[in-house]
Amino acid sequence: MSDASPTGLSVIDETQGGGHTLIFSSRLVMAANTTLQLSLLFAFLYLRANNFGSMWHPSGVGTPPQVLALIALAFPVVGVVALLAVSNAVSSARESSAVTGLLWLAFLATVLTGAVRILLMYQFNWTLNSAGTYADVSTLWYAVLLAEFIGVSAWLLSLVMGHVRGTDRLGSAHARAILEQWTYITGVSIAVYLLIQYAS
Amino acid sequence: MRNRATATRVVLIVWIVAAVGGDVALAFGPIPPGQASDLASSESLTILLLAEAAWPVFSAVLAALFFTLVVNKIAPPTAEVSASALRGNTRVQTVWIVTTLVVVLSIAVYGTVALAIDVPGTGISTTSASLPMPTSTDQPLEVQVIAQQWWFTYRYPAYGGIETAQLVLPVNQKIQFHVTSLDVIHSFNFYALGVKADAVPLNDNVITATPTQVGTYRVQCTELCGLWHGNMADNTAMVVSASDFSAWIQEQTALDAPIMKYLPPYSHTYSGSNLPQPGVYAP
Amino acid sequence: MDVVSTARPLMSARPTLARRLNEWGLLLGLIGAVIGFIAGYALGSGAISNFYGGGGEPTSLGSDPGILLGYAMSALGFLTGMGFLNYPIGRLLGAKRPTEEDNAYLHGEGGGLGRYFRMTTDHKVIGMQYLVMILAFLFIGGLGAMFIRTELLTPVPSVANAQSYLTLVGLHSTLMIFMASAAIMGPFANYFLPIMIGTRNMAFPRLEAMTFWLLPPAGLILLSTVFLGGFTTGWTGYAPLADQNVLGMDSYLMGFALIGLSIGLAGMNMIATIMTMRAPGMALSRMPVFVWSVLVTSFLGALAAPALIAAVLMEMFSRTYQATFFIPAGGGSPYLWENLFWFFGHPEVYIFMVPAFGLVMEMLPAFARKPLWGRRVGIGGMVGVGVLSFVVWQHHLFVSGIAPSLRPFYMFSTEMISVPTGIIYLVALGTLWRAHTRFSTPMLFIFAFFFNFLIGGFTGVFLSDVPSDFTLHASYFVQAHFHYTIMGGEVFALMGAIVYYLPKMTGRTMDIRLLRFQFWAVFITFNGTFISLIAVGIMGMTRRVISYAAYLQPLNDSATIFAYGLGLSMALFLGILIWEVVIKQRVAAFNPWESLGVEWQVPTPVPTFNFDRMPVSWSLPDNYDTGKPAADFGPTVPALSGAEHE
Repeated sequence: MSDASPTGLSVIDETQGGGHTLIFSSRLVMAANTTLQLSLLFAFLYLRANNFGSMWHPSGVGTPPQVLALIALAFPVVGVVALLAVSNAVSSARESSAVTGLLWLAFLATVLTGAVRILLMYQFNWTLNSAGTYADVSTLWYAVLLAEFIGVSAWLLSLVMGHVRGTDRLGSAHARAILEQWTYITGVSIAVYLLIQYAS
Repeated sequence: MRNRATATRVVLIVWIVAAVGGDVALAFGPIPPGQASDLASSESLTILLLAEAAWPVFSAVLAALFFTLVVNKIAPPTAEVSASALRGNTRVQTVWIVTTLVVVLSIAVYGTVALAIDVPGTGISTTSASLPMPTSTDQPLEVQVIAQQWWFTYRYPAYGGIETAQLVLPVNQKIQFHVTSLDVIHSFNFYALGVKADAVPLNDNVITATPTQVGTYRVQCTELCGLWHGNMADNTAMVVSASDFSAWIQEQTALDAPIMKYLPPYSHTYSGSNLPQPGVYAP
Repeated sequence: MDVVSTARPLMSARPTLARRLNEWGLLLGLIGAVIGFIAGYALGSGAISNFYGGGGEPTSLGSDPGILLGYAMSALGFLTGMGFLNYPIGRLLGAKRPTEEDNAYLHGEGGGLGRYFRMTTDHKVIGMQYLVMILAFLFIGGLGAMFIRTELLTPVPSVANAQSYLTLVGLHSTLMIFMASAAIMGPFANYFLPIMIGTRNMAFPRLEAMTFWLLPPAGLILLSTVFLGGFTTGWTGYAPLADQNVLGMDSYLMGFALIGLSIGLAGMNMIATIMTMRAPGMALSRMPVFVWSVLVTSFLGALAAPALIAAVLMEMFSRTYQATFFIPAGGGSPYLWENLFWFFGHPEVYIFMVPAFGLVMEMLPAFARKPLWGRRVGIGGMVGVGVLSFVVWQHHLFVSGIAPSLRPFYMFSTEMISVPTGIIYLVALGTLWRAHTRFSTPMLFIFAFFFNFLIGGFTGVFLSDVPSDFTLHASYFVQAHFHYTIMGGEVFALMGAIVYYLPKMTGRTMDIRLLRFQFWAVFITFNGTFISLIAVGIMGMTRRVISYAAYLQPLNDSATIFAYGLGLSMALFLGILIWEVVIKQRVAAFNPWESLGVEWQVPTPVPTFNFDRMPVSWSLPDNYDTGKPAADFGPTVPALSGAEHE
């Protein structure tokens, strides 16, 4: 289908980025997300350092429940491991049923992640209107992370469904992109956990 | 080609005349904000110097644009264009970039020096103690500006913290303005003195100036602060002689005497019921 | 890279249900918006408002959670009705990927005028949609400016009251910011970027359509503030004034959030397209300079918009759940908003300007009949502007009480911007040097661009220097400064670009004599207006005031009279555009400017899939010295003459 142009470059009918475009764009999303996270980090550190009106973290306002917060980190980590296994299985062209099982495992981990994090946000022992800015930033940050976890879970579900129903077998680029994305958010949420729990 | 040489010379001469003439005119023109304080003089001088530097460059760029568009063009077809005029010339580019860099650096250095000399130590202050009564005109007199929607009030801690609705300052006395707000962000602008400082709730924004001309001036709010922002100004701020100032202070002290016990003690910031409370809208 | 057959399938005879619905996309979108608003409003005012400590004080018009959730869900409902969720939901259910035919349909193949009113993934349709939307925003925003200037004829309130005046100021500024952030990126980058780099499509065509269709909801939500009491903060939305405002503030927040989303997503889409989907031979060094400017702008948008979204989310939390991010008594700080907002806000102004630089440098060679001079430094200048724009934001806060030790750095970094912008002038001078310049109408607008932006730049120097900024900050001098850059720069470049690209985009053109008259009218009235405002600002007039000192009245009246002329001449431009293009349909020459750009070599109207076969890039698209074409479109390959440039 391709013939040579006088420049010696092959002539093609379509430029299609495919997997390259996918992974590149996924990393762009991470870069943009980093600005969002840094904005929240700036708010956290700025308000913490200045403690305006002694209302950063008034006494009586606690920190998020430790056990639940740790569980809310454990499931994303399980998800990272499962997605890593998926990515390896896909790139080594393992048989499809093994990939399907691992995909379901990863998806289960993401669903539990969402569920536990919603539960965790219910357990914050503050109402925003009188709890100072520590509570404000923590709530907003957990809400933003929850939304991002849900977004990536939805993406994962679409990959699982396409793979399971056989309409769209999982490609290595997709497996790699979602692994990177999930790992990034998990990493951010671990950092946020440390900050909110121990830098209050 | 002879015509082109003549035209080049004409453009050059016109530019030199315009640049020099403009700079001379600037030097004699009134430069805002005037000479009513040391700070205002410094700002006027900065504006003048920047304008003096900018005008020749500005007119040079315009002259160069005119020259290239009208004089230095060639007849079609586009033929005898030298290679350096075609795609780029490293030397010309380097010279241009270095020149602009030097101009910019000198402006920045000048600005930094002027900043260090004329507006030192302004910005948010964290001290809670007010200044004592000045014993000489070099020691600053502390005057607090309290902004609220949509009015300024003033307090004089050296005179018992009396509060007035009119700003009156002694001439040739160094004044340290402490600007704060009770509700939203305002900005205190005493245009003639070259003073402009944002009033931020629970912040103490400090700026110093020495008024040098007696007169009646305008103060205004320069940060959008809600409905009547446009009317948050008055034309009654005064700079008066030292004796008039003491007379005015005595008069105000007497007027304030019955209400002094209701005023909050003098402080650099106030957090009171006027501050927006969470979840409560202003009426 | 995949190889796909050139033969495109014909449309099947019977349209599917999805396609029939899609034909009515705009109507369904509006219905979806209404349903979404009602559902969101009910949910927000009811259940949601009880989380985390109540939902604010309800007023007769509702409460903040109700309004905000109503807005969010109306935007979502609009996109759902338009059909944007069909694909993601299909993927979630594991449905088959859309067929080639489905994609061709969505791309608008075989569609008539209707494809402009539904979700269409053709970048050329999107470009035209953007152009019309931008002109509509420009018109509405311009009407606002006329009202503002009318009010300022007298130094006391006359035709407006304080609330409606401030709401008008806020609407004019915010709407114009929305307009300006997409004025060149929207119409021209979407339309021409894929053609310039030689691809049939953007990397994410559905996303590209969505970035456009976020604009109408954003604009309508912003305008709906008039039903909720308006807002008094101007476009900067400073807290705690924003916390204090009535429900109209929510319109500003949601409108800005949608625009931020649109800017960020469009930026990522453009970057992905440019970086991964160029035609063979289209090395970065061969990319047209406009594409470079789009690349820089896209990075600014993708990296700055999230800061705005973070700030807007905080303010939404503050207004609904009484969080105290910006209220000092509750542990917050107004400086937090100022910093986050301007961290977005300053790159934002270069989101306006950099594509204008690129477009002007793209158009210049066609009129100079010479290659672009100093292309590399020109590109370096735009990259430099982009990088610097992230480290200058504190110059908006020079008098806010920032630490004095920070001021010299921000003064320096701000003044440094003169160097890369100066390079743009060098490139222009070098390109016109020893040229036989054609003074066609777009060239007049380019000249006006350089003249106006020069004034904009030099007024900027006074504002970047701290001592003079003490006098000029927040005065009309600032207002005139950014109108000189954004209107005098970007909007003049926009008008020039419309005249320049109209023959390619529509196959039609405008009457030259009328346009020349219009150009001089708009150029003179624009300068008359804003020189008056520079003077009024130096004399101490504050921005956004309804009342001002009486001695400023003569200059204000002069500005208003010129502004009326400016409004009329802008309206004249729109009038000529509509008359000549829509009504009279004056047919244009195929390549009236004899440009060598790739975008001018494809047929008019541009085929749905741009090229019969992907072009192969040979050289820079500006070989006006040799006349060598920039790309090989096949199948008839012209003989390659001369050595390659790059």
